[in-house]
Amino acid sequence: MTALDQHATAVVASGVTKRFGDLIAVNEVSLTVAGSEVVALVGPSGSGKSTFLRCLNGLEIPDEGTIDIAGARLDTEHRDIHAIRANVGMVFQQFNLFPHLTALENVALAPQIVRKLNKAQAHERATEQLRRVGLGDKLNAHPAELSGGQQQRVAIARSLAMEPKVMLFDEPTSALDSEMIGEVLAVMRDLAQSGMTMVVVSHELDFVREVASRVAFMAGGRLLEWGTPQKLFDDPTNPRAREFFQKVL
Amino acid sequence: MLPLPGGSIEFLAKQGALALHILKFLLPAVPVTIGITLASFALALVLGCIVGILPVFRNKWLTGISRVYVDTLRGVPLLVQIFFIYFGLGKVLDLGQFAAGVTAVGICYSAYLAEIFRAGVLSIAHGQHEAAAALGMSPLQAMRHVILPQATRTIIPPAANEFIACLKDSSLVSIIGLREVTRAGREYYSQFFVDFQTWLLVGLIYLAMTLALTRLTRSLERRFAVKGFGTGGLRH
Repeated sequence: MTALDQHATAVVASGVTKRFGDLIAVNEVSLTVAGSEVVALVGPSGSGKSTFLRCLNGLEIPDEGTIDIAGARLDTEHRDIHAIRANVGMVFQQFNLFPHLTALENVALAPQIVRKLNKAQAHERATEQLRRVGLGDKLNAHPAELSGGQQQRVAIARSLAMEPKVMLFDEPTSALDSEMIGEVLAVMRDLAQSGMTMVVVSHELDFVREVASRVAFMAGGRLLEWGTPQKLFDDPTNPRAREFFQKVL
Repeated sequence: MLPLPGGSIEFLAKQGALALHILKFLLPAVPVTIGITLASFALALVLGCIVGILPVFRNKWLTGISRVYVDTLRGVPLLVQIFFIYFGLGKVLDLGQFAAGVTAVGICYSAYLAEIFRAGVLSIAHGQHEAAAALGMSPLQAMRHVILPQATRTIIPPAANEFIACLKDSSLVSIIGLREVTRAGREYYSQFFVDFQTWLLVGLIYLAMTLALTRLTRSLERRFAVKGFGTGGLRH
């Protein structure tokens, strides 16, 4: 067994720093996520939450620090970066569905070309995942024919079809109208209950309080405080965290 | 009805017979023009696609090769490239007229197509590259399954321009003795000294071929249309 038994520890980030020119977007952030745990990253805009999340699957390359995720050391020199990403699902704020493909094809594409399933197997798996997110009747719809909430559910199904060990959510409901937020959160809640390890950047604090086991508060690129949602929301010790939660809760 | 003036029946009959005579001479050269065009454009598509997507890999060497290739070939007249490849390289490599002509036209057009491919890839939102990468696709897999199928709809109209220009520029290879439509026109003229009718018919043959190409590219545009994006006035 490696030190990173996924049932014990799914993600270990240590001393992660990311700079964009003179701006230090993420400043020495360390974070550990246990298997089946849901960790939420909250904080004001521009606090580095999304950038840190994007470091976790190598979409941003950290300038310093190390990241172990899904049983492997993330290293851009590493030839296996694609293999690691295949095990780490990511859901984007803007969905980023492939507009030229139907919902079914969106979900089946990566299992087919990355996991090398044959077309029938990939379509079967895609159908299953689309049913799971409540879109069994939209298999042949193109993204342009779906509402924002439906598109984001297809995006979640697309990640799940890769059978990831960890799921990353980058503000998954921020681009949605309020009446569509609920359907996406419901899918995420089911996913958390099924034991999926999740790291979520979100402004939906009611959802975070209900589903997250731990919350990390970030501001100015630093992780300033972290603990259970109850502790952090109701009785934060860090003054910036106290100021933030007083304003938003 | 007005009566035809005297001699006009004879005039028309004579013109018709002349046109048939010219066409009989020109039409055997049409397959040569089509062959040069298809072969050189196929070569141009393959090379242009490769050179055009090299900058995507963000490697300074690959990007440099792509830039030098495009800037050089775009900056030298096609006629000069034909002379260089046929008379210059051709002597060393022992290229025939057809091979030399196709290589010259194909390489020259690949430079223009490379820019069209590059523009097509640039037109795809960065989120598409990221979504593909996040699913574990390699840059090549992402290019083939996600980026190029979407870029194709923006690539087709300017590439069709180049296809038509390529067909017309295939007339330049007549200079190295390939008997395509333009060359056949010149031969007819030097044998029979008929200029107006010969060049009118040569022009009409090119026009017929380019109009057929236009129809073909319109149907390709329909095929690669993406739901939710504009069609530029085409009906589905």
